[in-house]
Amino acid sequence: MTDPAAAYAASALAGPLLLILAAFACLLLPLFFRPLRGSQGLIAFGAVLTALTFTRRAPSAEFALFSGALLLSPLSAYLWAFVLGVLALVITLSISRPAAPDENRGEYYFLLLTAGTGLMVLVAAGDLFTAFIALELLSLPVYALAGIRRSKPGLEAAYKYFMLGTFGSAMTVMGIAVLNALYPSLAFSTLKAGAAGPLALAGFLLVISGFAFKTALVPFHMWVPDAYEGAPTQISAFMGAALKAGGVIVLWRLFSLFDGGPVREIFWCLAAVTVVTANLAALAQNGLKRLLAYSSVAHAGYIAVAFFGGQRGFEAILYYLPVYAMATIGAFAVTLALEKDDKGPRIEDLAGLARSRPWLAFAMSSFMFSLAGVPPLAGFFAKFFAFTGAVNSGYTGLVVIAVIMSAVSMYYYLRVTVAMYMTPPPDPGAVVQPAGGDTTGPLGAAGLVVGLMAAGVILAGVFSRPLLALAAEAARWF
Amino acid sequence: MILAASIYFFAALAAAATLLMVFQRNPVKAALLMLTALLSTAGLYLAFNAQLLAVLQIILYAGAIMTLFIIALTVTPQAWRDRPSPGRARLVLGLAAAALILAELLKVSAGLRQLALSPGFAETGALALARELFGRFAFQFELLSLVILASIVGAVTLAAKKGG
Repeated sequence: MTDPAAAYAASALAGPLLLILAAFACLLLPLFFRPLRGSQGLIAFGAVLTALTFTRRAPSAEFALFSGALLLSPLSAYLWAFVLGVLALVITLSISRPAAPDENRGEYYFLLLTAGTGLMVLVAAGDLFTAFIALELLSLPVYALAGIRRSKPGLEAAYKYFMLGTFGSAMTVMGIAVLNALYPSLAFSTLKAGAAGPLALAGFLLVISGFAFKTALVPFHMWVPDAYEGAPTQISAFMGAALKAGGVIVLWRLFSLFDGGPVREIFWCLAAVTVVTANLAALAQNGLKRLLAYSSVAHAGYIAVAFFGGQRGFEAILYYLPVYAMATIGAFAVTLALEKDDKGPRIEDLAGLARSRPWLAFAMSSFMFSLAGVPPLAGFFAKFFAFTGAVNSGYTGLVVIAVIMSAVSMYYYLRVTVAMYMTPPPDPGAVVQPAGGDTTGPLGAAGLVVGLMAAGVILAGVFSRPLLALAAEAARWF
Repeated sequence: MILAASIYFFAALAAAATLLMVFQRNPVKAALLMLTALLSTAGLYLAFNAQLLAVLQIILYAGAIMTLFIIALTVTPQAWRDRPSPGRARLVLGLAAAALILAELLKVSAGLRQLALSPGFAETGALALARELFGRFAFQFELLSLVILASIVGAVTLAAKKGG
């Protein structure tokens, strides 16, 4: 390794190390220094922003560190910047509206930052074994975060999520054990070189099911609605935006090991079933958080459709992930601003929002339109690129299903907008909240996140070229 | 000769203990039968010359997991009273599923014989494992320590008294 390369690797690794350090600082320092209590969020935020500066533009090369466990390349730099960005936004939301009880704030940020570290390792993992450990480092803290309020729905969500997630992890381990017996090493490059026999295929399918659990593809999505609804909204935003990205990257690596055959057919079915089921189920939802949960499952399906576009498809996925993250974090931030209890607002609760808080309503409708894929918002281009790749590779049937279901999804996204703009508030007195309701209170940092994300989905759509160019450059290093 | 005998002995013991466990109604007796099954599996590993695996089996399963079972039994008195009556349909379904899995396992184990495993897979032993763990897999090993720490913090956070 030459000197500049070593310097780059050291500077890139400083990011995750800094996160771990900050995690410990959040957990331990306030125990010893009283004045630091309550400022864990700021410590975490500062660490994430500093880590972001370390993830600078990578030289055009791929470095394999720790005997190939970590692959540092422009791709990892792109994804790490994405992860850190999501973390920064989630931390901002948590500072403005604390998700955890005061006495658990240290643990909250510790768990959030370790989960972020796990995600960073996961997206840069060079072999399945590392990917699995990173997946656990990502999932275990999120199970606890889902129930950190220790309210009944929260604990129920955490428990369900833990049980189903452990099931998924067990399947992954089984698959990895089988593959370990058959291949000389678990590096993705080695797996690609070997021919897959029936037993290896069984192993791959087990591993794919395990990661499909995390990505929430139907039929592995049962945990999603309950977990999103019961978890603190900040954590739901993290799950939607970040957790999915980790699973998607590993699934893509596994998918691209095969040129055809049963694995592709299974992905075809997974994508089709996910897109259809999730969109139909979302139609019946009344809770905003459950609606967003099903929408997140549906978007996992659209990403799975993009897999079939080959290299162009991967570029589309890399564009899709931040665009989806912006819309979903924004939507959850609005939900957070409006929520009064643990379960989050229902769609009817948005009635008259356009009159009482026009900017919030405007931002929310831009998120909804972006998720639905209305031009010229970023969501439209994301879906467009995702689907054109698959069409060019000859998977027209799958794309037709996806486009039809995408049209269906318009209905439930529009319902939210209709509620905000066209339904009068149920009781004119209810808009001006009496004491106790904080729906008209200042938004603070959460409002900043909403504004930033709304600007993001609009600008990333109108000026999609820079982000797309970055994604294309990163995708070359896959 | 003595090796073959011990293999058959431990295998039979494990199978018998497992069967008895399945049909045992008393949870503590079932747990002890499971312990017998786990220990005889460890003996089986020993007979197959996999000493490390045998020791791990005893420490992890017979030690840690069994202790967890017994503690869970002592703190949940409901488990003692909970005696589901097996419906006939459920019994038939269960037996059918068991037969299906047994048939599949026999088929797979027949196929396993002509399977080419990757070289180096058969090597076990504490030294080889330690070399791998602290050499090639040092990064993953360190990462695991973080996983364990995070799960401890998560568990303590969830279990702590509210407002305490």
